[in-house]
Amino acid sequence: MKHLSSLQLCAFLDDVLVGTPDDGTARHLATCTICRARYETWCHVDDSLRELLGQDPDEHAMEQRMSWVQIVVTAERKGLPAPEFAVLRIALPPQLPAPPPVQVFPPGRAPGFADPAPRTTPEPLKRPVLNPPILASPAPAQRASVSSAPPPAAPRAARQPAQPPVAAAANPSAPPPGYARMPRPPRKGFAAFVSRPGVWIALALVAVLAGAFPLGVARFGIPVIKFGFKSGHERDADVKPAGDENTAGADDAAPARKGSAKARKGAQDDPDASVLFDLPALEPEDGEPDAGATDAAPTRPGKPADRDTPARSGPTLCGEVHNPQGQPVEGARVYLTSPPRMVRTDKSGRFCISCPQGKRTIRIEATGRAPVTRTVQMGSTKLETRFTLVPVN
Amino acid sequence: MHPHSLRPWTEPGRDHDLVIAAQRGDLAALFTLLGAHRDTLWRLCVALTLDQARAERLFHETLVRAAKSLRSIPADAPVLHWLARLATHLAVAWSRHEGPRTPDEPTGAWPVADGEAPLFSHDPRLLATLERFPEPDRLLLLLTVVERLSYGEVARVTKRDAGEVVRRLTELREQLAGEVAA
Repeated sequence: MKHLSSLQLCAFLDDVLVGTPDDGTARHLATCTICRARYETWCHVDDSLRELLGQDPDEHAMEQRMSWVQIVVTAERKGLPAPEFAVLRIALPPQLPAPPPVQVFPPGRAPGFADPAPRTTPEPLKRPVLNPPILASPAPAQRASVSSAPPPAAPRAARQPAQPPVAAAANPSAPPPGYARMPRPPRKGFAAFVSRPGVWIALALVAVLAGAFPLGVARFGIPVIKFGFKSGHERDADVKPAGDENTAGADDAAPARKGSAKARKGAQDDPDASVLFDLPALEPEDGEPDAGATDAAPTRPGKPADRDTPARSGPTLCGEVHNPQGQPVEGARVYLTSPPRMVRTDKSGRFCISCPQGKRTIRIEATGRAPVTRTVQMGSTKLETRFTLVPVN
Repeated sequence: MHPHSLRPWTEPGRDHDLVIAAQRGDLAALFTLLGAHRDTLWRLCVALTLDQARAERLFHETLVRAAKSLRSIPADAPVLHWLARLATHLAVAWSRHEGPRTPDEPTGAWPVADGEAPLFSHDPRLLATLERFPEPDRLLLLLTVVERLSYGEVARVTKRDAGEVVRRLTELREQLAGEVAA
């Protein structure tokens, strides 16, 4: 015996077959137990589907659903901001299949359907107060018979805020409805800590420092920070090398600034010039000649004759520095307090420094020797002095 | 005005008159049109989502979107066909975007309280099998078994070939019967 196919059974079940095929199928089902069992199973499935999906909705609930739809549509037609519950949360695909075009209805809107005038201050729509729903809940026996059904949740009113965020829905710059995403719950705990960008920036800085510190120690060594007082000879390292006043050489007739440039070049070329130092020039005092003009007179440190010769027409203080045994002291520092200047003695212990007229103070210092301070009265010519430095025990 | 059709899937009745009036800005006509199909659309939403809470949202959004897209209603078919396709599109997009419903999924601010009630079935295996079917297949079953439409009408509603509708419907019934009989 040939059994019924699934298509035949499906068509017979849906009352599609008419005439002879219908009668033949009915006769076969009356005689074939296998096909009758299949048919009964399919009928049971159909009955279950009708019971599951064909339930009539509750009338009161449907009234409420329609009232909320009316509120949303009316607010939109009147140009009011959409209420909170009207924000559509079903994301659509980028392109929906286009519906068939309108064929009968005339295009264009009627005059009475013009767009409402834009409101300057849109009023947020308030949530209406509805009557408490009278709902027909399923029978207790039905609820108890479902073993896989989830437990009854808390009432909806308890899980929702008392006042919907109408202000958020009233934002005119909000994205159009239909593309809004479901709000994500805020992160908590370690996830919230990790999600902060500042944490990652701090970790990156720490990683860079941890990697660069060993390289820096390998390259420059462990840095040593010194605190305390510097002695006199250590402070001399901070004194700038002389340039403008001591290196112009024979270019006496040259202008002061031009000679300054040449003096720097001469100081670089002449190795003896490295022993000449000078303190930074200050503004000349009242009654004093311009230091920049007078002190630019150079002296060749390697030539004592030049030191003895006044570089300019101004007064010059020259002298010799010896120890108690009469031997010259080389490299002794000769300070002039006003204007502040400093030169060093040469191999023969001589020095020569241009000094303005008036009462001046000279201080001689040398390493391992007691300093000597002397006040001299400078005239308009050259002045020769002699200093003796006593060793310090 | 003549009364509304008792067979909304096949006979448009006064739907087109209401659509024309709604397109001209008559809100009463729009709400009458939507209210005439609310029960059928609700059953459709329940079948597409198999979840009361999601059915609430799908029902609401389908009607709101329908009110916005009145100009795209075809004139040569009942409005319910267009509503069914719109709801199916929304359900498919929703399912693709968010997947099946999770227990902690927010239910929105809809006022209806019966959305918390689980969808009841005497046979849990039937419900579990239905959940594995895609939304267009559930629509086929609903239109054929529950709404008792002919294959031609189902093909018109879903815009598919009638033979394809029959073949797919047979496959679905075989799967459901196999699950129930197992």
